[in-house]
Amino acid sequence: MGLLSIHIKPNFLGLLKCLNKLNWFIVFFSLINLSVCIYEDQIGKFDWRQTYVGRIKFSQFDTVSTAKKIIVATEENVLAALNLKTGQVVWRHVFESASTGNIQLLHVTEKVVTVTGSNPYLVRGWDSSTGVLLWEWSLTLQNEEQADFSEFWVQNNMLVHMLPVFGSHVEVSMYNLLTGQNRGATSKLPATWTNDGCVLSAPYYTCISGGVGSQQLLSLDVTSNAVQLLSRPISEYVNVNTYDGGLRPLDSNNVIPAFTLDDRKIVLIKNNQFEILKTEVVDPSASVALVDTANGQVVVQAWIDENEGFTVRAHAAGSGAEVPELRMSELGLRAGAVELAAATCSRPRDLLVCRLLVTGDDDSLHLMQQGGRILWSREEALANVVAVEFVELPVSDLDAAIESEFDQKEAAKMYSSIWAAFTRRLQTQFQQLQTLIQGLQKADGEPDEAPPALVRDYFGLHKIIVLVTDVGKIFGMDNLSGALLWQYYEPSLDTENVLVFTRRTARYPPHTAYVTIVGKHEESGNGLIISINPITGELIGEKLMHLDVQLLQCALLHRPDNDKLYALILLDKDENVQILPGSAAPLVENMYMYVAEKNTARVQGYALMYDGKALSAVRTWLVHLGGGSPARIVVSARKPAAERVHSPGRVLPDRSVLYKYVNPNLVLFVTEGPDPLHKDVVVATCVDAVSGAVIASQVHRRARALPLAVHTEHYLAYLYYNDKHRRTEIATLELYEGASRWLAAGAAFSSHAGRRAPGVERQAYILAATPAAAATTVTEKSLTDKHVILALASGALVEIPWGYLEARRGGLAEDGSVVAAQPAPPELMLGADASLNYNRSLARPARIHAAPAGLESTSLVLATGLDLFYTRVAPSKTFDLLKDDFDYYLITIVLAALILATYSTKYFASRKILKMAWK
Amino acid sequence: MSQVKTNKKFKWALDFNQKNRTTTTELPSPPGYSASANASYTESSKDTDSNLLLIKKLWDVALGPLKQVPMNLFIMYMAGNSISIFPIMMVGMLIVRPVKALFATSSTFKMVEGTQATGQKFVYFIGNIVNILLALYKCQSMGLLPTHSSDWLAFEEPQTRVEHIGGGMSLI
Amino acid sequence: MRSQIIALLTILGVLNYAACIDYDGWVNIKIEHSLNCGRDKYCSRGNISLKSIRAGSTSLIEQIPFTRQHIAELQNIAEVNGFYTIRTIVTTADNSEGTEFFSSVKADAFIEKGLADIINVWVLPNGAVIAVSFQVTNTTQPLNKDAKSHQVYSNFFLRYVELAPIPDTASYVQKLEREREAREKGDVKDNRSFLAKYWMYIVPIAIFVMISGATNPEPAGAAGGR
Repeated sequence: MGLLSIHIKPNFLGLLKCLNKLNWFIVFFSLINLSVCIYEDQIGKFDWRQTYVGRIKFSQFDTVSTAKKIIVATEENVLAALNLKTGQVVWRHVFESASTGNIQLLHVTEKVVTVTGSNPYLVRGWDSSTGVLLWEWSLTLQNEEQADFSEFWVQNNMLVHMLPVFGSHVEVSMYNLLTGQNRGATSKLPATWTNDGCVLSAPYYTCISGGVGSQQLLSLDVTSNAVQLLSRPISEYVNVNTYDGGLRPLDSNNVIPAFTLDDRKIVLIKNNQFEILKTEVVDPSASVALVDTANGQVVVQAWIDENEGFTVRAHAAGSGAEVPELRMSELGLRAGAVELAAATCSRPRDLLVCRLLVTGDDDSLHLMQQGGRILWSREEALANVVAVEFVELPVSDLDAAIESEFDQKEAAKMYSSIWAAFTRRLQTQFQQLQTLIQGLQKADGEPDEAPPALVRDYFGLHKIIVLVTDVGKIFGMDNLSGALLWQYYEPSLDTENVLVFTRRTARYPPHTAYVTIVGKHEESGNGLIISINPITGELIGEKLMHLDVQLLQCALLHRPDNDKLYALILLDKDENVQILPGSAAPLVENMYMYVAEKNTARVQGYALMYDGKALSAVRTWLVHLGGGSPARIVVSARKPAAERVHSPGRVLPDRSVLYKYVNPNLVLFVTEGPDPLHKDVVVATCVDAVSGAVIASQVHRRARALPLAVHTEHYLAYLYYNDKHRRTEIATLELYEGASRWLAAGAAFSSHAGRRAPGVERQAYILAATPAAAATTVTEKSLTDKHVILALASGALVEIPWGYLEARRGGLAEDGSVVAAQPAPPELMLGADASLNYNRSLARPARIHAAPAGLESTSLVLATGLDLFYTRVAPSKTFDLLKDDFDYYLITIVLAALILATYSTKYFASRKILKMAWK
Repeated sequence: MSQVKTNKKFKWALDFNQKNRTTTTELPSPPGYSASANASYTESSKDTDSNLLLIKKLWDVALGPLKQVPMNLFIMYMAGNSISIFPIMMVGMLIVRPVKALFATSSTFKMVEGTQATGQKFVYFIGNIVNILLALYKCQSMGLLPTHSSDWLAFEEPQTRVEHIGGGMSLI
Repeated sequence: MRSQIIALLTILGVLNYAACIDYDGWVNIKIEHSLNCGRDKYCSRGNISLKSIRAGSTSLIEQIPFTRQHIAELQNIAEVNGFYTIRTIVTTADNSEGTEFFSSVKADAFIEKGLADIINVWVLPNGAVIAVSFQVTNTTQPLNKDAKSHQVYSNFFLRYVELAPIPDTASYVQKLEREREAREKGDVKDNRSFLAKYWMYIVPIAIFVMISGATNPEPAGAAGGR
């Protein structure tokens, strides 16, 4: 109390006021800290979103409206308008992903007309400039079986629907485009010659019919009132003996009906007559389009030439003479096969200007201009990302030099004498000085345009994202900007169940980083291994490796060889083991693998043994997770391989510790199967993948499993659909050793030694949303809290603190007293402020990937789907990082002022003392 | 002590009246004067009285910390166990004051040189220790002492593993 | 040759968990291993038969004793740090063909612990067995190498897959109800300490007292001393 009275002299009313003010400040600041969401000026600072549309199915130039656009309809059931100049999405509509959203027709005039679905069909009209829905009507066909062969097109403001019944007749109906009124009933045209090889080249339906050697080319204008069948023997056009029935419509054509025969001849239908063009198809793989220009129709062909790359040739349809303006070749564009999706030509100032929209086999989309110039490219493969890996960047050369200098081994090797070490030190110092001066110069001069070098930053926030896409194209992406750094296309890669392994990070300077992608060969199903340097995109090591056997599973060895490379263990169909590189075989020790069969719910475990000569896999355990019934595994979740949990227990309110059961070998399997009593049951089983022991298991009745599960540290969560209550629920499990630990701190956990069963805490919560993907945040040392990130079908990316999902309830009250486990709110509140992507909704999110940053507080998150969204999250706030808007200037000024004040007062005080002494 | 003082005071003085004084004592006493009472008084006032007083005062100082104990107990009770600024300040005072006092023991008892000095010092020391213990008890009940295993959890080595696993869903 | 060991064992299955079993029936578990089998890959080690899954209280384990050949083979496996693999075939009334399970224990640990193991069998509510796993027990009961035959000590546990909790709406609604009632009654208990509650009144008084004490600096110590 004495202390108080010394410091605070009278006027305690003033003091009270001051305290009161302080109180308000405390309240105010605590409010600021509570809000998780970002500020308005932080939009796009830590995150980016890229929108994609998917592989182009139909496309047309919108030349009518003032803002030039390309209207595209895609395999992903997306209708979008792309800016002609930049290729950016102007507007986009994402339809249902099921067959009800399939786009059957895209017709662009002033309005955009689409036909979507598959019986019933929806006919919609859209405003081309804004994408606003103008009208909609539905069309239901009686004939269910044949409906799949329906063809639609628009003619004279009428929607024509043609339904061929092969070998019998063709049904043609016409509807008013705007209202759906049927003008006249359906007309049936007898056509016994139709077969499934027929092509439509509106309004002609063309077939090749007849026995081998005497085939006839038949064509019928299905919209004309008078049925007039064109028929010519095919021998007039092609050699009958070599003909194999090839009949293709042109890839882009809205001029006159035309098709190619035998990938060689181009046949037009003019005035109800077949007319063969003088121009032949140059390359069998070429994509042929017929473009209307001011000087008549032009046949444009595009293909990938082995030597010249992408090549375009154009010939006048009438004369067959080549149009030199349109001759182009582009060596840089290599995309497998290409297709001319759309083409438009105009003629300003007597110059033929054509724009070609080209799609590649790799789902890329390019807009080409005269002279082969690519105006823009879109990598639509990214709409279908199947695997993601975050890779560290290498340190800069300077840092590498310093590191190697202080590396013990290196140092011992290089500096036998003290002089060598000294000169080396001087050298490095000089280098550092140089870079410093360079940096200063740069700061003074104009900001350089060059992208930042690919070197690791201080906080490890800058990484490269390796993305493997469904089509087999692999991308390297800068995580800060979202820019594509490199791409590699492997057409034969089947990416179903593709696995990506980081086998060496860029941390070991003489060695490059090393990422291996294990997939299947498209045709044979055998293993296909691609090893890539993730920084540059070059193939390294095994490069492209075709295995001659199907792979069952593969894994990464837990310890690196002398080159710091983690070996890849491949378990093939016949339970043989290979290891890449082979020299790493002696390193295999205490390595186990498990293989789960999706459809039978059988899980097998293997122990990998090295007997001094070869590796072998011994099957050690087998369980049937569905019992005898035909269950299937919906999802399995394993801990991140590198996870090392630095928080061994959970502190309880009475300050004792509840130790976590952190079994690194634990795998969660969620199975779903029929049940005689309860319709469907979902069984969640935690299996120790080394010993095959079941650690915990629980069953949900009348439920269906969702393929979403997360598993880190000692807790697991999975989502299922409760059929009884018709809602999605999330079940959480936490495993605890108990109040005392089983093993000493820092001891090694062995699955074979552990026979004690951990305590299991269970809980379930209602989730009032449709989840599409789930993941947990990952941090460097697992010290930071964990948040579960859910991607919702509504497009939000929601962050849920684990505290909300905890299976074990009860905790500390605000005043420190112990609160008993209280009934938790059964429904998870997903507040709008928990959304990581604020108003940037994500279309069809499919996966979430989290990776640790160098900072312990921060986790990097990438959500894929139709859109890509990247952000970083700090589950326990950025405790190791200054605030984004930290005022460095202010703090510097204040510090300087304080130092100044200290010294000046010291000086003045000494003078005063001196004066007083003289008095 | 008083002798020391007088010695100091009259270090350079010469007492010429000493003999005179002895002669004056031979005069007969005034009426009502009691020589014995005078003797006893002079004895206590000159020597023992001031000494006793000092000792008493010093015992007061030595017992001070112990006397504070009930007051401290009361403050502790009033402060409650919640951790907020005022209880923390009080606990801080409770712990800082006796520690300071302990360090200042020698200066507090600088003037003491007597038979009871060690005893006084000891009592003073004990009193302060009791106060510190009380404060520590308060800290403990407030949960400020790292006495639980949970307080050392962050320094524990993370668990390692013997076996390693790989695998997943069948790729076929 | 084949003598029968009958072990009566306790079953872990707690009764209230057993309540979630929809189906009751018998279970027979055939235990096979690949020790001393001659030409066959697997030969019998024993058999466990359960009369009732639900009751599960008693089970009959019959296992052959291990002979010297068995031990020798086991030791051969142990030398290469290998696994002693056990195959089990579970037959139930529904599933007369039987489902095959595998489990392994480290051979060296098995010998070291004197051929003692734990058998865990996990049963779904519909009576189907999903896993049979063997683990070595922790008892230190060294193997008597001179004995002619060795008994296998097995502890058998039948574990039921529990019914998962459902979101607890009822009790939460009750809690809200209780809270509402309490609020209406107005007896919200404030269990903060006296000082925490009233410090804003105490502090000014204390300061006032101190200030008034400081303004007339009476040497309290001296007064008390005199």
